[in-house]
Amino acid sequence: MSDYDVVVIGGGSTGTAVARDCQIRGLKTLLLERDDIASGTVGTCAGMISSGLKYMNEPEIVDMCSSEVVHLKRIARHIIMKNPILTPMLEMSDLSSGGNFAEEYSKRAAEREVPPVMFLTPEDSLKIEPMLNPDIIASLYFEEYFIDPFRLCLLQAIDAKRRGADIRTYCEVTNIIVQDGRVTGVEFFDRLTGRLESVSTRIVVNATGPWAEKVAALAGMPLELRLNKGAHVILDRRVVNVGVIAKAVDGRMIYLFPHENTVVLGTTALDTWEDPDSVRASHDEIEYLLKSMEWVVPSIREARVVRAMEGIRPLVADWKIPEGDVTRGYRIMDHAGDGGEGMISFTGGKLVMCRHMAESVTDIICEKLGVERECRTHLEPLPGNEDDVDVLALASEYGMSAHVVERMRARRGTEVRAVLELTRDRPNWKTKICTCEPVIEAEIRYSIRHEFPQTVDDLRRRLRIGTGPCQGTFCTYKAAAILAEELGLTGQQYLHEVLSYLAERWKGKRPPMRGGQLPLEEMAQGMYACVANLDHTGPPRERQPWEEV
Amino acid sequence: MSEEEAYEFVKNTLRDEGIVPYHGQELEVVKSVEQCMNCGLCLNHCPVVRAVGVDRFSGPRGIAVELSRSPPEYWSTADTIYLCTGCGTCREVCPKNVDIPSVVILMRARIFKRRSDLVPKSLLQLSATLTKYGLAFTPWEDEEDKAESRDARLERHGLPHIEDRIKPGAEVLYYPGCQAEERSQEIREAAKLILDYFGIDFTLPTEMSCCGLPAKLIGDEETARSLASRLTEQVRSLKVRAVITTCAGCTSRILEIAEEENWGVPVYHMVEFLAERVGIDRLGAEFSKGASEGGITVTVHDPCHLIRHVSRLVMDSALEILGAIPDVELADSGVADSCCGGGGLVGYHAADVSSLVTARNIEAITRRDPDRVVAPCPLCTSQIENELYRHGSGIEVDDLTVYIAKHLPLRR
Amino acid sequence: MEIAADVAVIGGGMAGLVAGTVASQAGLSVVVLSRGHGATADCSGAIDVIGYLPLATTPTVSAIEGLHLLAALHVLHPYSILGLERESLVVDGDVVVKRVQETIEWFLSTVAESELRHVGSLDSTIMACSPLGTLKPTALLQQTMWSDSLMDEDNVVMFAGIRGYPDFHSGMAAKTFLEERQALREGPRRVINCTVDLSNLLPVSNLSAIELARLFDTEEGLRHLAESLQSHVEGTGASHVVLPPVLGLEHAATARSELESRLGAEVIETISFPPSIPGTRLQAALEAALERAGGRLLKGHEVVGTETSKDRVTGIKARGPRRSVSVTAKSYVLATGKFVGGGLAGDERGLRETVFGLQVFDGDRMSVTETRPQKLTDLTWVTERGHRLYTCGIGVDEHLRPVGLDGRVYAANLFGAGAVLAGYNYITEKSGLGVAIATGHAAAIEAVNFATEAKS
Repeated sequence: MSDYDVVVIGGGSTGTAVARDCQIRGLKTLLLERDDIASGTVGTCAGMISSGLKYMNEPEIVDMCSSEVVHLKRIARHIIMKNPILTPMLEMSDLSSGGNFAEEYSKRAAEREVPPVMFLTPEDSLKIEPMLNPDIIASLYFEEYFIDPFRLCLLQAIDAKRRGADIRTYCEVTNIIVQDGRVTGVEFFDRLTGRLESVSTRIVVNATGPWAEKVAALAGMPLELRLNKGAHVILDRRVVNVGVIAKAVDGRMIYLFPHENTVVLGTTALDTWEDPDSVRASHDEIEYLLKSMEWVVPSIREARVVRAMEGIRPLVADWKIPEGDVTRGYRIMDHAGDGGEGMISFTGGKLVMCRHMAESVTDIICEKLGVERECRTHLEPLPGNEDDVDVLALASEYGMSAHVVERMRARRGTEVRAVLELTRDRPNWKTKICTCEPVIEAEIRYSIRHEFPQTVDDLRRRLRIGTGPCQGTFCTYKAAAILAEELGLTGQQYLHEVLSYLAERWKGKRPPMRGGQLPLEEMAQGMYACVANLDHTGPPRERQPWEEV
Repeated sequence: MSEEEAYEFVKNTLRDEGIVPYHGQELEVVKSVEQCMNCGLCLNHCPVVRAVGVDRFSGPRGIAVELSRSPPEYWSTADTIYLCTGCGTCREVCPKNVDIPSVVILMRARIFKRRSDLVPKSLLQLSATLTKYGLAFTPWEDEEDKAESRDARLERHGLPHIEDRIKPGAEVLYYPGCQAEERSQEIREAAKLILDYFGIDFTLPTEMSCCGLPAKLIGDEETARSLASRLTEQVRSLKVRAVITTCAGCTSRILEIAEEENWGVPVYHMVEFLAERVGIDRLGAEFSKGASEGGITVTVHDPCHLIRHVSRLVMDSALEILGAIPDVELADSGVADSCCGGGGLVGYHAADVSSLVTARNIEAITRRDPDRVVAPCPLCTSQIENELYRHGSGIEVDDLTVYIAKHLPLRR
Repeated sequence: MEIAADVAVIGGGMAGLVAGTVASQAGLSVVVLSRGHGATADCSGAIDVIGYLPLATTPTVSAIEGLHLLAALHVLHPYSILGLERESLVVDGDVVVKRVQETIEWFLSTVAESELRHVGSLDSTIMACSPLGTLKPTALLQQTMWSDSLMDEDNVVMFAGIRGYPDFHSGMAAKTFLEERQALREGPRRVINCTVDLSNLLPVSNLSAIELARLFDTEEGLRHLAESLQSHVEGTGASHVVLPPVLGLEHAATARSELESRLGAEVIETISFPPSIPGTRLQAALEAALERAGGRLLKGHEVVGTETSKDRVTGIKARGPRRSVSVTAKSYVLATGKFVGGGLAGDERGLRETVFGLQVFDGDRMSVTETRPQKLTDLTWVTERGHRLYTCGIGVDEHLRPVGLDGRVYAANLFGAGAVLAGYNYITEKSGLGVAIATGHAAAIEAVNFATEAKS
């Protein structure tokens, strides 16, 4: 009897989806994540759950994407938002690769509850989006859905956990044990306790994205990835009302998408061999994006650039073709043929496909283990997403600001009530800790008690604290104090948390530093370095990979 | 699908998603708000925060850094966004002059357009009044009753009456504003008397319609626009070369309209016009001829719509004029520039809040105990006078235009 | 609209208000133009003179020692410029110390007239307690923030938070403070914390510093605070109570004595993060001082245009919300601050000075007008070295007149003061308000001299 049926390595979009699917089908599952849920690639994307519009050369993919959007809308209604998107054209040639993309997209439009692709006059385009260049000659209009990628991953993990799975973050796999051509167990280092542990298992799923090659090598399995890095620039608040797609400096298509209360400008695509932990956005990428969007949104440079993030796509290893031509579909590798029966890896894929990938992988696992259970992940709503939420009624019932409740709804749906209940005994927990999002103390405490964050950065993924215009300047010391109190940290550990989170925010703030961020940065330094003297006192910190020159 | 049909489809989605695109000047406002660095200095000076606390009114910081970031969510700000008095103190102390008052108007406009069920009922009623009558007050039904009320007020202030004057081609348009037209008629009368006294070639509007500031504060952009057009039409058809008003709110709103509609004609508050055109020396000479009250202490209130929406320098003119009245001794209350609480239409739906804002002025004024309070704005005048009365004080408050008229040797 | 004055000061923070007040006290007509508040209004309550030498890891023993070392080692530091001998690069440390001492003394007595008193001196660096419980070296503190005996071994120090007020977590502050003291093997040995409840008088959540400060300016509020603290103090035998910096806007000092006599324990406030009550106290005291001296503060007006002719600034244009005003003066002081104040701005092309378009330098007098801000920063967020970005500003000669790349003076009647100056990093050095006071004062003297000569 092995400890587990399945050990999933990697807590990203697909890893958590696999853990969920396996556990729902009754397989005893352990998820091991080196850092925190969604701290890898999925945390650096724009959050679009693509209908597959770009991949008209691969109609099966378009089909799959479309049906996945429908599934996600069913199971994750609260963390999904819809954006109208305009592709303005200054010349007819601006419309990328002709073909019948409009037709492909429009085929499944009705089931996604969006209109077919349409053309709009320049006057109407400008009415919808006054920030557009007045010289445009027309635009294409369609609609896409967006999701909060952190909440998606977290809810998948929590759902798995509620059904009996073990979810362990801050556990780094150090060895995958293969005996007689089959996988038998996994060794890992628990970074929180400092202890080496090992478990036995029948199946190991390598869901580690850009690290998949390294992790496969732990079992001696071959795997090749084509790593590709991309940057996004985040602008504060919704400066555009709808999404805008434009032709970039080099002919690629880039986008400007409203996302919750920010706007995301992306993305670039560069083959890379960098350590995924060390990547940060470059000046070239930032200027590439701004310049590209400037033709279509001339005032883009006046908007407040808040940060720039960099992520790595684990593409399928198709070489000697431009990265744009590499398939965005996924590949599953069953390592049985490599002498590693029971180990499964995969590469490629897009956010929208994560549940589908997980289903395929879990189907394979079930076949191997002789389990006959059907997939239900497309039917069972994620925690908090079972029902609609009446924000105004809840706000009135608990004496809360309606805006606080609305922002909370977009994270946890029906769970809002459980959070607000905490304020009955502790009315002071109605206090806003993050003033930008906003996030109240009750939600921070709820998250610490139920969503297993270890650091302020983990809290950021769960609650969006520190993602607003002040980038954590005002909430960090308060949120860290609450975390420190709940986890029983020492004063030095508390200061370490404060500095670590602000260092992480600096990673993204520094590359695009300009304009309105300069006064903010001066104030942040003024607070933590000048007033709190943390540049001369406080705990020593190890240099992070991205802080290396 | 044709392009027109396509656009209709799009409008539906925009409505469902709560998207009302920014247009024109609004983009400038959004850019201004983007400068906010969350420093919170505004909270230390906001009169509504002072009155009710951040828990009830998130304050200008909350509006800038939280509430205004995502228009599809504006409907959920309705419990906060109507409590702002629009005083602009936040903008004045802000290191970046973030334009909170304008962003409040922008947000209210979207709530009005998309979720009028969340607009305070009394504001919807005011909007109906504006739409129906083109005025912020229900006008007198009977002209005779109106004249009777006017005469009673004139008698109380000891001022004579001269006929209205409508004169196309006059140099100056005197615009009374809704309150002076329909309620505090003594202000309109005093203005006419002053302009006549100094031989200014002026005209009244042919038809008096609201400048539209209340419409903007409700979020009723359509009515605000149509009222702006009506006023523009007045200015153009009367061919005047300057516009004067006696209300602070009207001054700031009309300056805005003049810019947007390219009037090419300067707009003044009465005290600015008098200081510049007539001059302090001449005013002083005329005041010396007028009736003297004996030594009298006067406390001044600075209307927010003048000092913070036009310029602090406007009150220089007011103080100079008062200083030229013999036997008037100016007494500093210490709260001259503290919002009176009458703005933002807060009093219409949250009278407790607006009264709490005025409380600071009342406390300092009663402590200083002047003989009189003067303010160059009918709204501030009535707000402070009503609140003084409610607190049991007998201190009288005069609109400054009326006060000036009372000190001129007018033929009775 | 037009305003004529002897001296026009651009910027209403510490440097600008000091300059305006000094010039007014000299009998000249002064107008100070302020667009909004700046970093001064959000300051911590400490007056930093020189807490750390550049790159130092240990604090200065005294500001005087620090000033001497700066004069010897950092000739381009604004303090050092005050000790420059005529047309040379030799800095006389004694002159620097004397000038800084005089200006600080002037400042202390001036704000004391507005009921804002400070403790400390340039002879001995003191450690101030931050809201996080960490300590920072400084020269002067608002008097409500200091106790001589705080670090005595046998004390019981109690950090007291207020329920519903999120900006001060007494538990973590206490822990941090104690651990730091223990690491140094110094007292106090007992550090505890408590939370008081004010829900009788105020809302129970989202309390802001300003609401608390106004509450404690009232008798009832203060009494309630004392009563709430009393049981905690008695139960623990606390000898010192550390409160967040909200003891009152106008009556903080009397509030403190009241509390101390009721509790039988010493009471201090920590220094402050924004939004800052101590900063608001200081800003109000400075504005009152200007008014007392006969100077005029014109709020809500941003300088948007300047006129220069030959080598003189001949006028500036300031814009209010809907009116513009032309200001003509004999001499001008530029005290517009750094990025928070708005004296400097930057984008991907480089840094610029926002009013006159003056040359912007870094701390080593290298031009940064074509250096993008990111390049002036370190990969690591906080280090003892700090970021080059904050050493940037305008370069000035020994008369505090801005100079260009070639060293030529921009105008004979323009003087710079405060954070707009290059050559120091107030964040790492803990030197912000000290530089503002010293250079504000010095710039005023220069402006007054010029204006007086111009008259005759």
